[in-house]
Amino acid sequence: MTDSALRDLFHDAAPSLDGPGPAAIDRAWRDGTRRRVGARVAVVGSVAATVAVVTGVALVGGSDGRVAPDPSVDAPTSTPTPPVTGPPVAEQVGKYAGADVWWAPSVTDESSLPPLSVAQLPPVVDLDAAQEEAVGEPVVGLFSGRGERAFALTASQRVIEIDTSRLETLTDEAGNRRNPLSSYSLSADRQSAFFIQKSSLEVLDFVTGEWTTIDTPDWLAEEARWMMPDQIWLPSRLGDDSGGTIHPVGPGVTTTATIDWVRGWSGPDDQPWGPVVFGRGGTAQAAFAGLDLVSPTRFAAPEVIFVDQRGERSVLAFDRGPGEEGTRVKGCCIPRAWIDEDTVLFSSVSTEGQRILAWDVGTPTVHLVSDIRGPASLTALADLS
Amino acid sequence: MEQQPDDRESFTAWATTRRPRLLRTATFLTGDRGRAEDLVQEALTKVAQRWPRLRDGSPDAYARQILVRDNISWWRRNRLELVSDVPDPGRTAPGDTGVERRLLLLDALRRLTERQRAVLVLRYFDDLSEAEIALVLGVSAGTVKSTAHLALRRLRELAPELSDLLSLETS
Repeated sequence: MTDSALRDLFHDAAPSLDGPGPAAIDRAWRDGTRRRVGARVAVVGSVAATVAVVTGVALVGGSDGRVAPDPSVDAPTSTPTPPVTGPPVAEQVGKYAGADVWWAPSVTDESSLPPLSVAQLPPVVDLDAAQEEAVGEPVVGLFSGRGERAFALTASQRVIEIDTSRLETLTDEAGNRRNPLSSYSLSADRQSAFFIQKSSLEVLDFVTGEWTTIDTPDWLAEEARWMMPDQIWLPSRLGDDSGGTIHPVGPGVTTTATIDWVRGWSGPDDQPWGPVVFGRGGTAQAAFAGLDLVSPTRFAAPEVIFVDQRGERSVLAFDRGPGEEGTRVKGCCIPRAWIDEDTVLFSSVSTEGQRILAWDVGTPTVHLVSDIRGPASLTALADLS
Repeated sequence: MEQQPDDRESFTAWATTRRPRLLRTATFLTGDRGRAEDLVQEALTKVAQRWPRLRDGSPDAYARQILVRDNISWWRRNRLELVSDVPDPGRTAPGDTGVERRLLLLDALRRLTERQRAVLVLRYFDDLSEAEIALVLGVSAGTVKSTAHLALRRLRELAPELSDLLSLETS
């Protein structure tokens, strides 16, 4: 038999469906139009709130075949308008490589951002109040502390310190001590996490509390990723993000596999780093940007988050701050998850503390989702989209 | 990107043609008629929201992308209480081998992962290429190929009676 026989069977098995098509289509048009108008009102409001104090975006050229900046577009030319009273917003300041560039609100403005309620995330994640007990349920977020300390925010919003006593002290190949959790540690079904060891992965099933050991060549566990709820991929060598092996969690055979992991976008002089967060909205990744945002009050070459929504690109740039109170740390801002197709969550770490913020991509709206308190940093968040 | 006077008309024409097919795809994906209708309604709404940009592009591809991704998201949120119904396979008389094969297929599909099922439905019902499926799922063509291979193998295990249909060669 051939593909065509299976196709025929699919077509035979397709249900015969009758339904209220015209009414449903009318409703879709009305609802879709309403959403579109709502989004446009938000954007118009944001443009009015933008004050063109930024002197411009110096575009960095490149001819190595990577994404090329669009030199024909520059800073917005709309007439500056007086600032309006209201919550802090991101400011659109120009274009880079065809993408709209926005300055994120400053660190000192973060606490005044409008709150956004995300069902799975409490307004405050208090790791100081964590209990050391069995997890017993799926996990939404993982946090890494000093040494091997690890914390979990569960689906029911309990905060738990995970018993990691079975883990050994971990250093990287260069001898630097590191936490055994990575940005990729949490499985997509939220039921398991892997912990990196020098020569193995230790996998904890949160629901059953059982640990499974997967032996690995030295150091390679550092770059492990989940393939399926019961399969973990390891690169053949550090830095190789396509060729590798797939290891079953539990019984099964190891197989070799070349995986084209989803990648983010970046310009020719950018240094993308950290996890590529992939969800319903698209991709997002942090970078040290090559774009030279010139501003009387801000540093050039800021840290950024590059977002790609099915080809529509945006950049959220972060000012480090004045170097004292209200200063972001290096590697401050990392995308963590999508909550729908328009909103990406990112963590922000500064002298003011740790927060989870949300950006309605391509708009001035930035929300405060959660404050994180206590002795650990957000390391992995489930896809919430 | 401004809305044109005939936008509503062109959207309605497009949706009227495509909705039945989308509904069948969604029923395969979900195994549940009610949830399929919800999925399709949300997909049509999102297409309508972006119609000025989509009308001259690929609204079909965008709608399928929404169907598949929303379904996977729904499944992730609700996996602990997942209940699937097997859709009505048709009105052929009992004992008909055609009916049995359809039931076998639907039952086996129901037991695949969401992504495996999506790959098979998009390939064998919607006749999409690997590259088109990759775009819908947001993965590489290589991942689609390996997922299809695994899905067919699993389908053979679940429904050995259909093994004559389930070549592991994917092209």
